[in-house]
Amino acid sequence: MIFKSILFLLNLIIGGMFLWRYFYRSTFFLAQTIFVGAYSVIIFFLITIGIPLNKIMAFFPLTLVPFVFYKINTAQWRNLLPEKKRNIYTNILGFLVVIILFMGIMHVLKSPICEGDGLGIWLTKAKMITQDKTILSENFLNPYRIQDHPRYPLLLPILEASLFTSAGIDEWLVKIIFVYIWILILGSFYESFNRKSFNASLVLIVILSVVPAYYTMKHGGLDTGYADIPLSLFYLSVFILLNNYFDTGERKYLIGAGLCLSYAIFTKSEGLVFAPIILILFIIFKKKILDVLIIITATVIPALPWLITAQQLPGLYAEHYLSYVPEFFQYLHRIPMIVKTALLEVVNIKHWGIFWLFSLFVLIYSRPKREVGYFSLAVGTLMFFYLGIFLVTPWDVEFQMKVVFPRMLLHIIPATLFLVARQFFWN
Amino acid sequence: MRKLILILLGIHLILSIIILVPAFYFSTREFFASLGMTTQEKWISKYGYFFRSMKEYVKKIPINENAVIFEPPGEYANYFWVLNYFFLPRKIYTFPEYFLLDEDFVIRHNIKFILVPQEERFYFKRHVPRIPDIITRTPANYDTLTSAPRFIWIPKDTCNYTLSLCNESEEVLNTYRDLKILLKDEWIMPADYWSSIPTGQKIYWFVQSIDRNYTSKLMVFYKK
Repeated sequence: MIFKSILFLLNLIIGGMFLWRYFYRSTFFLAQTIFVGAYSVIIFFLITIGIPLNKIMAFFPLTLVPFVFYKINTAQWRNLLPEKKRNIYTNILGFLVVIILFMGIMHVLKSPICEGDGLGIWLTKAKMITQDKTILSENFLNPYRIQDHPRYPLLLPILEASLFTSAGIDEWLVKIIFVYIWILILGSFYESFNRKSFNASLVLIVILSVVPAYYTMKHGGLDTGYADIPLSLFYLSVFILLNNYFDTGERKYLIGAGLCLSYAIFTKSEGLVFAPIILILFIIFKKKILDVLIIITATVIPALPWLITAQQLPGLYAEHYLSYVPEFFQYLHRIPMIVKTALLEVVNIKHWGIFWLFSLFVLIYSRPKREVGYFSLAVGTLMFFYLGIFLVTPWDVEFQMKVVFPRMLLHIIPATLFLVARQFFWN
Repeated sequence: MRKLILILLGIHLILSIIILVPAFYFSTREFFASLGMTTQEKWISKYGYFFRSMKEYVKKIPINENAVIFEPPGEYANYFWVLNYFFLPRKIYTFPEYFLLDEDFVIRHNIKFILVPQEERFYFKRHVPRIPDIITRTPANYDTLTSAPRFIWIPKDTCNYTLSLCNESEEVLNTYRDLKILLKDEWIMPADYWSSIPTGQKIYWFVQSIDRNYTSKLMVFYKK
C-alpha cells in the first residue's frame, strides 16, 4: 500500500514534469501545481461523462513518461539549483529549512486524518467516490443521504479518491497528498526568489514554515486534511504566475494563472469569491482585451464542468449565503463584533506570531508599487468579502468566526508573504 | 527601514519557534510511537474505547474504514454514515433516546452502550425532529399492558400513517411495510401478534406519516 501510494505521488510528479519540460521551463513547482489541479479536473470530467474511476484512469500521467524523459539532459535543471555563491548564512538557513521541513512532515504524518471536516467532509466524499467510482451516485444525488455540504467542490476529494483507487483506502497514507502540497508551496517560494538570492528564498521558506497556525490549529492545520492549505497553494500560484506575466509579458503565465483560478473555484467555495476579484481587478488594471479574454477563458472553461454539476447536487439552504444578502441591513449590528474578533485573531501570537503585523508594516510602509498594489488590493478585497460572509451567515457568528476566520487567514498567508517578499526584494 | 524589518522578522521567528518547539516535540514523539502500526491500530491507540465499542455494535465494519455503513434490510433502506466527528450526538440521545434512526425511521439500533467519554462522538447526519408533530393518546408512555393495545393518536393532517413497533435492537413490525395497511388515527394490535410478544418485554412504538416528515415521540409500553 505504501509503495502504491508513492507510485501515485510519482505519477503526479511525472505529470508536472511534463508541463515543466514543455511549457513552464523555468518554474518547476508551478508546473507541478498546475498539473495537480488539471489532474483533478480531468478525472472529474471523465467521471461526469460516465467513465467510472479506476486504476488506469488514476495512473494516466504515467503515459507521459516517454515525453518527460525524452532528451532529459536538456531539461532546465539549472533553474532549480541554488546559485553558486554561498556563505555561512546559507548553511545555517539550509540547516534550519531541513529541520523545519522534517518536523513539519512528522507533524503531518503523526496520525491518520481522524476528525473534523478533514474526515467528515473531504475524506467522506473521497471514500464515496472511491466506492461508487463516480459522483453520479445516490450518495451524492439523493438529498436524504448523509453528506454535509453537498455542493462543496471536489478537487481534494477527487485527488484523495484517485489515491484510494490506486492504493486502497487509508486515512494515514492519504496525508502524503498534503505533504506534497506543502512542498509545492515552499518550493514555489524557493524558485520565485532563488535567482534573486538563495539566502532570501531560504529565509522566506523559514518564515512561512514556522507560522504556528500550520501546526497548532486543530481545524485547518497541516495535519487535519482540510482543503484550506490546497486552496492557499492555488492563491499563491495565481499571484506568482500573474507576477511573472507582469514581468515578462509571456501569456503562458496568464493561462497558468487562469487555470489556478479555476482550481481555486474547484477546491473551495471561497475560490468563487477570489476568482472574480482577480479577474475584475485585472480588467481594470490591464485593459488589453486579448489578455483579459485569455485569463477569463482559462478560468471559466476548466471550472465549467464543476459549476454545472454542482447545480445538480442537493442544495443546503443554509449554505446559500447570497439568499441572506437582502436581509443584511438587519445584521449591521454584527459589524463591531466581527471587526473585534478579526483583529483579535490577527494579533493572536499562538497562531500567527507577529506575521500579520510584520506583513502589514512592510506593505504599508514601503508604499507598494503598481503590481504589488494590484495584488494587495486583491487580498484586501478578498478579506472584505470574507468578513462580509459573517455579516449574513445564518450560523452563530461568534462561534463561526472563531472556527472559520483563522482558516481564511490560512488561505492568504503564502500569497501575502509573496507580496511582502516581492515588495522587499524587487524594490 | 530594512533594519526595522529585519528586527521584526527576527522577533517573529523567535516567537514562532518558541511556540512550535513543544508542538514539534509531541508530533515527532507521536510519529515514532506509531511507526509500524497499521492505520487501524493508530485509530485504536487514539480512540480506544470508541473504536472497540463500534466494533462490538456494528454488524458491518470494513477494515480501515472509519466511516461505517449500516445497510439495513428492506425496501426503504438508505445508507447513512456514522462518523467519528466532532459534533455532539445529542440528537440521537434526546429523541428518540438511544436509537439510531434512518431517514424513514425504519431501522432502529440500540446504541445505549456507545457512550464515548471523550470528545469524539458519533455524528448522525439525518436530522431528527426535536418536537414531535403527532400527539399520541393511548397507550400512555411506560404503561404496563395486559391486553392487546389500541393505539390512538391525533393526526397532523389527513395523510396516511404507519405505526412501528421495536424492541431494544430493531424494528419488529411496521404496519405499512409488513401488514400493507394505511392508518389514519388508530390501530388495534391483532390478538395473535399480542400473544407473540414475550411477557415482560419492553416495546417501543411510534407513529409516522408515510408521505410527509411527521413523526410522534418514541413511546414505550411493557407487556405484563
